[in-house]
Amino acid sequence: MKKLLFICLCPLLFSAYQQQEDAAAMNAKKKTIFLYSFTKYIDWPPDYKEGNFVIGVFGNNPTLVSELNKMAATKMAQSQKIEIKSLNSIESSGKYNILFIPAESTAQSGDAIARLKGHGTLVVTEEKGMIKKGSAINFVTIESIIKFQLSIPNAEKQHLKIGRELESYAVKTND
Amino acid sequence: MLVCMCTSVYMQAQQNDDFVTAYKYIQLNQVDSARARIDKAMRDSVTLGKDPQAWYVRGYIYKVVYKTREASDRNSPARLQAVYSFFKSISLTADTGKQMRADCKVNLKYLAARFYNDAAQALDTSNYKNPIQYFAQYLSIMKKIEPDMSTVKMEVEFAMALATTYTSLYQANQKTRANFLELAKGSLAKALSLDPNNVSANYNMGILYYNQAVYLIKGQDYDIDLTSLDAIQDNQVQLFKQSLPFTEKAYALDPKKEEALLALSGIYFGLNDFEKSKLFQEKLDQLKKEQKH
Repeated sequence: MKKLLFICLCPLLFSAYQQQEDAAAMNAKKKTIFLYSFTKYIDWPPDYKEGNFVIGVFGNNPTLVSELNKMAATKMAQSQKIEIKSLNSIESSGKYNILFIPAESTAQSGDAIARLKGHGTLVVTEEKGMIKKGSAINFVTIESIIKFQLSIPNAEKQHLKIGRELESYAVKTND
Repeated sequence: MLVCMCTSVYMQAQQNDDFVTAYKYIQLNQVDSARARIDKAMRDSVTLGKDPQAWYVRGYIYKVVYKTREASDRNSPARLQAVYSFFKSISLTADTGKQMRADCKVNLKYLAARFYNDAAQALDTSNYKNPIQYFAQYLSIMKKIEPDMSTVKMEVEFAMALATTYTSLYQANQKTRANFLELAKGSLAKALSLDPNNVSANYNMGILYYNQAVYLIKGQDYDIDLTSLDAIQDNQVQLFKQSLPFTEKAYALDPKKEEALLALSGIYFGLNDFEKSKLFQEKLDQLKKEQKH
């Protein structure tokens, strides 16, 4: 009898996502959800409610900017169209509703926070100690989960009114 | 193979014309006539129903029917009849009938291999249920005729192939097909229970959890509230942590596996442990350099 050969079953390695790139995109998505949520719980001064709602991202962070642009294409900040700007420097004449300074760009941001003092700009950072330097919201990672610290005094210096609900989401730290 | 049956058939010929006629038909390759006659003979004769040689001839005729008429039919009734007949022959064969037993086994192995190949060929995203049955039939036959033979390798390969199919089904629509993700995990868990040190099974299981974690946030709308985001992040952390031991084991078993290093870097990035993520990325870069040289 002719011997019957077995057909080879060759299970492929699963085609995973591009691991690290995807993990970076995942974190960008989380931060985008946070930033978009902030637009719902914070009241900006009247002149910042006119024109586009500008979110500036300091430094080179294409993954986050891309995610923010996706969000801006489908969402509004109240009645304002959302505009995303990638910034290499902060001009004191610039009008930003939110300025996000990613951790990797903190060192290069210099006196950006001071320049925007009193401007009606919500400064969001993600580096330890940034609340003390004037940031109103600072992302922190607690047990692998991204959360945020909130400084009402720093927000008020920017003429921003923080909704109570947002306060309830913030983590309490001494930092 | 039928040659060895001549003496017996001659003896039967004096008692049962249908049986001998069936035998002659199959030698002349008149398959349908042989099948009709053997069934009539077995039906009409109580003696033949207890004769292992008669069952062997029936099995042989049905095997030929399968090969010539139903080879492309994966649910071939003739194949099932052939399997049944050969097993019946074995069950009726006394210890003295060693050759008969051996002949039955050779035929059964052939039929089992056809079940295995059908399982392998039919397995795809549009058809995953039948191959499970074909593979079960392969296993059932082999475990009866070769109880000491290890089928672990085949079982692991099939479980992994099945997991790949389930994963493809899941990835085609992750929102509505979450059940396939669980089936994929179940298949890989089976492969790992049989072969805990299987590198690919460990890696694939790690990647399943990793991808599930990533998708949790990718599939979300920007509008979700912060309480939900917190809950999602919590789930993600659990999934990344579940991914970790499998991926670490794959790497420990095969330190040259680039995909495992890349996955570990991704998992730690997902856990916001950027130092460890960077460490594995550096190991990967180093490995790539070494392999270039």
